[in-house]
Amino acid sequence: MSSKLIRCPKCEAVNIDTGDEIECRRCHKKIYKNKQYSLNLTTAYLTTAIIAFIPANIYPMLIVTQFGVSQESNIIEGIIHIYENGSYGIALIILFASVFVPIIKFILLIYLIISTKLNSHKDHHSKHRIFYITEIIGPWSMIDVFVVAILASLVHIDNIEIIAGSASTAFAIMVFFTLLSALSFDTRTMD
Amino acid sequence: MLYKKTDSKMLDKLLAISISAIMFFILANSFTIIKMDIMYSYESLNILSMLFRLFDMQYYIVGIFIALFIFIIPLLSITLYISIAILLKMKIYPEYAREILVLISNLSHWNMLDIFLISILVALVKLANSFDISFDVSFYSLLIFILLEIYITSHIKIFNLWQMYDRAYNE
Repeated sequence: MSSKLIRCPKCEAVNIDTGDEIECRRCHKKIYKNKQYSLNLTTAYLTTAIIAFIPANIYPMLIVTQFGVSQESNIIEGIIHIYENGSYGIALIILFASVFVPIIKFILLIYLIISTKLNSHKDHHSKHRIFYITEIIGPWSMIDVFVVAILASLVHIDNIEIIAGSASTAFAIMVFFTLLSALSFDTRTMD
Repeated sequence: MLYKKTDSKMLDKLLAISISAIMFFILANSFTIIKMDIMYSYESLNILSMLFRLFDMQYYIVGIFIALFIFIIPLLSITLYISIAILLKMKIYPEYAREILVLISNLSHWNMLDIFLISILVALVKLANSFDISFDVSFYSLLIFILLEIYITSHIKIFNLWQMYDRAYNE
């Protein structure tokens, strides 16, 4: 008699598939088999992240006040400013981490959600690779938020002050929800 | 390589490295990371002072996220590694060991101290033209802590810890 086996996503233990309510034999966590639940959760988190990405790019990320004159800059303006100052490498790093990484991650996650919803089981090796890439690159978007926090913490004297702009909040929320979106995606649905 | 064979000294190694790591973490948070000379007034950067500054500016959400990603989660992860090494070595409290292992695998994606270190370097390049900047003790402590953490996560996989859990409590 052959019984179906199921992998626990928490501890990787192989369990015997006994029905809808399965508790992992090793970590005692519930193994959810409902494919739709994980997909809905991933879609909801991803939508929130995409919504937060809009104010993150429109509102100022950094406000520099020098002798009473304030200068605000959003992400793109900040990158252009760094590039014009001759720090090409840093401009490239911030452009990659703050603009390209979130967009690439959105595209890859949308592709994974759609292909899973359409029940496409083709080429699941490349899908696992895509998922791995989204997990690896995701947290690197936080670079810009960290840089702003460091600058705001360091530069605050009488005549010169750097303040974090409201885009930093939107950006941190965006990173948080893209990470949640990738983590809630059940990789077993790709097999 | 997907899975690494568990060696008998792995728990001792994990315990030793985790204890060293937590000592460097304490050092990293006790002193200054960067010192900066701005027009004859000195400013310094420290993780906790940075978090207080963000809360002062009323950036609570950013402050909470940064506190989680670079302070609470790294500290919690390393404390959990020490706890699991002790529990598995002494073969006691299997239910706590199980919860700790689940927590370790859940937290692994949220530790961003390595990204924070790169951010410090990026911020320094931005400021280096205008101000006189120097690294302090905490920067090197932070660097060593991150290297030790990378060693733990690359040499002791969660799969190996679950194997040791099975071996410790099912014998």
